[in-house]
Amino acid sequence: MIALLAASALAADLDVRVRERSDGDPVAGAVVTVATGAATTGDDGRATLRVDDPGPWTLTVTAAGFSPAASQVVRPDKPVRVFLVRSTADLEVVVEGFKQSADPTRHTVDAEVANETPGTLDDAIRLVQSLPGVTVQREYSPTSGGLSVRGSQPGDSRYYLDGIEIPYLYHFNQYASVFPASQIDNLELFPSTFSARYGDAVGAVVEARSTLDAPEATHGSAHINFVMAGGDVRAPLPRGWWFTASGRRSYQDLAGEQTPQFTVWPRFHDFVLRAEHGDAQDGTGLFAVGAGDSYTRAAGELDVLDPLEATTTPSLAYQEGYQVLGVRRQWVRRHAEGRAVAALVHHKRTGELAQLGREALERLTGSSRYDMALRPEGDFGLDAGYELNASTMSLVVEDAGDQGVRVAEEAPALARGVSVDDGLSRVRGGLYGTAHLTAGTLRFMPGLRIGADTTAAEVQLAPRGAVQWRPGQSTMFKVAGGRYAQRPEDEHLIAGTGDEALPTTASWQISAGWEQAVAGRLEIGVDAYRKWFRHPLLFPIDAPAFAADTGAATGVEVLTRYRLREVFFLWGWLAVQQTTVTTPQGVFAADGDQLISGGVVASLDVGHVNLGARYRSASGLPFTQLVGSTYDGGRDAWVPRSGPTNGERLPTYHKLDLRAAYTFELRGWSLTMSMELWYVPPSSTQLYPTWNYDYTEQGWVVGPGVLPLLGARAKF
Amino acid sequence: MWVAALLACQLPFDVDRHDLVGFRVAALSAPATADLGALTPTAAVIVDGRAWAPSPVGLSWYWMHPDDDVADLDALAPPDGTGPAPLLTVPADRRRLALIARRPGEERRAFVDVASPPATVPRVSGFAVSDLQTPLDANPPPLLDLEARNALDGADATWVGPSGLLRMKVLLADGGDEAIVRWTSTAGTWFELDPTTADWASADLLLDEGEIDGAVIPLSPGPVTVIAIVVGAPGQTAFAATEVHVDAPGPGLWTQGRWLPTDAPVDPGPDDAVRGTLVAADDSPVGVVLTGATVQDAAEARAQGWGTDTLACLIAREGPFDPGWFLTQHCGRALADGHEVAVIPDPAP
Repeated sequence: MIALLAASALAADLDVRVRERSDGDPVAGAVVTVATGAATTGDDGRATLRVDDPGPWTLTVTAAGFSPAASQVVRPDKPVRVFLVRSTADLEVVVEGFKQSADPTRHTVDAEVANETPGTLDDAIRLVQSLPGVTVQREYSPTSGGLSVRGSQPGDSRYYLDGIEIPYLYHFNQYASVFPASQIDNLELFPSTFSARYGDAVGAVVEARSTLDAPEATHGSAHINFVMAGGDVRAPLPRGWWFTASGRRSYQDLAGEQTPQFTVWPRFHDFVLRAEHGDAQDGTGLFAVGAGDSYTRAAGELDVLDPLEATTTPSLAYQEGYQVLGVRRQWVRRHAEGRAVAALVHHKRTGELAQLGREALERLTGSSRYDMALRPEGDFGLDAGYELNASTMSLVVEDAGDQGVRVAEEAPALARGVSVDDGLSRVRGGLYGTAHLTAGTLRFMPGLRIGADTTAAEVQLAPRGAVQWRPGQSTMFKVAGGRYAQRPEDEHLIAGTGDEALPTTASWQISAGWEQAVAGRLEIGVDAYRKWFRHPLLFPIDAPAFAADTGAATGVEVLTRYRLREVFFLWGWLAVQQTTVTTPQGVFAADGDQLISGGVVASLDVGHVNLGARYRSASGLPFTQLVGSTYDGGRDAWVPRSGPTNGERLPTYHKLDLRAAYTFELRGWSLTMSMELWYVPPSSTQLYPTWNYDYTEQGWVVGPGVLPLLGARAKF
Repeated sequence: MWVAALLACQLPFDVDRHDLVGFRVAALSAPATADLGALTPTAAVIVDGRAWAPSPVGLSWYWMHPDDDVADLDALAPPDGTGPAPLLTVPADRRRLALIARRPGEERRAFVDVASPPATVPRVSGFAVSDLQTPLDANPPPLLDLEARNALDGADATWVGPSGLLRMKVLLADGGDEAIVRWTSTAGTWFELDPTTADWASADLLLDEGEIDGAVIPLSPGPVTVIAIVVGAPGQTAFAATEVHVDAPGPGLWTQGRWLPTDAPVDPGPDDAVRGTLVAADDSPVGVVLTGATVQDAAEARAQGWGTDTLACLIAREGPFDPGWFLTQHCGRALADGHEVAVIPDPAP
């Protein structure tokens, strides 16, 4: 502290404004002290100090959770701004696994973890791929965005944003998720055996929750990396309202990027607009969310076509997007909390194969959901609620003949080779209730979900249940299980391109686990599960979906976690699983069958520096080998012959991501510059198999071994 | 898909569909008889990368339902026809004609879906060949740019130097405007230009994003067999074979569109035949060389006998010798070795 003498002899009022350095938020309750007195800042971070001695004056400012600061004041006629830095002296140890919930097996990701885990590019949903039980997909591959959890297929899982189901999670099924981490407060993954709160899913549930903390001042950020740029802003409005908006867009197409393969470079965008009143404890929100993806590509790999074929190869114009408009109300009382949400979801997907055929799928869904939790004092609690979706879908397919198979990835209906002009309206929903009964160290959570769907003449009764036993403060045992069911998606029920008689997939699931906190900081957990399926669906690319007889998934996961909030986090996991499908042709590995996987994630904050590393390793996913072909003399083409279904495996996969970031904390805003290095060893760069012209020789499409990435984010 | 396209790459395979290597059914044709009630299928079969085999490959033909998978065909089931050109009646309910080609230890399966009713197929009357006089090992043209290559012009030729560029066009006897030609050869690199025309490089080379990647490896001097497959409407497939030469050809003659080497130069006139003895030669594109070739009047050769009726072929042959019989598995080279035959040379271009 430095003291100076001033020339002024007049009494004066010092206008002191105390702000947090990293984001400029006002600091309430800070104590401002000068020699002649002290004052405390209000909610606006301001305090007024009367001084009647000649200056200059030395101010000291202290506040809980912040390092003390001092400031010298020479002129009393100007506001005095003091910026405080958060103190790391009070370290918050985060023990995630012991929260009371009807879903004893769940993984939670929050913004800090999302922003600082290497390899995720600040994308919370990409981070899900580093959680135990989630199939490790090969980076850069066409399926890198596929979320397969505990052996399930991507279509078996449901994705929710604040209780509203969204049609898809990733732009182009890879790379970036459809909403930014900056809007997310936390994200939960329920890998299996979830409670009765969720239905119509035999896989996993991902629920993201938006940030609902009302800002006291305007904040925002802007960011850029090698693919996209974006920004967000949060600002208070009059009368208790506040506003937040975010937007992201790819930009390489704006720079005129184009190749013969992609005549319109892939472009995507997403946005969130919210007007909120109140906060997470008591609030109402109006929201609009949307995402869009599009490109135009040659419907064939030009590298392997002759020059004439390349010029006559038709182009595919692909577009997909969704928009959500909704309203939400959440409240927390002493013994209860609840959330009600209603929204309209519009989803559209088109694939136009130039001058040959097209598919257009459009769906409008009205969604409504109410969840309530009662927690009176004592040993009893209750969760209850409902979910209701009414949708109308239209599907138009103008058959493109043989060419449709080339674009199966983007236009799956076009690949099935059947012209369709049809639609489907359906209503589906569920009522649920879960009781919470505590008896000493035991907690019982029986539940029941009653579901129905107008596409099936049946009511689904899904008993669920969980038991937690805490013999000590640091130990928990858990068992959960129940019946799960899932109806096929609309487009698979359309006659011609689908099958109206597709059955419901039913599943009995059970999981058991143990969690242990060591020395109050380190968590260790083990989960084992078993899932039995009846009528799991399979999706050939050139034929309608069909139901297999049965399926099964079994696995064990080990997880360890350690976290000091805003300083360090580490988790590691190891998973062993096997998933099979049984058809009349025999038993084969399911697409998501990944025998062993594991990884370690660590992130350390040292002052302004963040260092992180992530390593993942997994056995290869199965694929069906092609074992030769038959020559079609009428077309001079080769018809491949398939080997045993999923009888081969990709090589074992390893990936190491390293991250280093430096944050410049300036007056009221911060700038974070980050660099990442993604490394895949040569033995793991294979993305997917490819074959020569007559399918007698198999090779690989390979991705880069080393990829450096730069990013920048400015926050205020 | 998008990120893979941006960041991924695929190592090219050594062999693509243009390359006649190994054991391969290179082409199928199922031309109908004049009354359209039957057809006589033929197959061009490559054995060990050659357009001939020591002994004919066994050919078994089966009628199948169009929805049936030829891969599931029971190889022990009695075929509907055997040999190189069986006369087959077309059944009403089974219009997929499948072929199993067998040699010791190997088989290849193929099929052609026959149009209803079976149709005639476009007939190849010949090839137009020109040298584009564009060396590939020095300032090559943009090979994937159709417009740039279309601007190239050349002179009629039957041979090109190593690392050169030939232009070949299929001539169709009866129009065939809707046909597309698919080109294959025992060596060299192809660059299609239009539905019936392609440029052939007398070199092995790879392209990466339109540019020659790595060395241009010139072919060794000698003949290269070309098979052009004409694909038209369903079931209307035809094929024709010929040779192109890297460097000026040695002694020989053109007959039935094919190059038949001789042991000494011959100079037949327009009404002449050439008689000689077939001798096995592995470096000949047709498997044999005509030795002791002498020119005689065609009428005289006809009266003397062409010698083909005594060739031990699977189906009795007659008329002038056709080297293409080895490609279509009518005859094997081993039993033709040492046999005296007469040929009618093709008219000079």
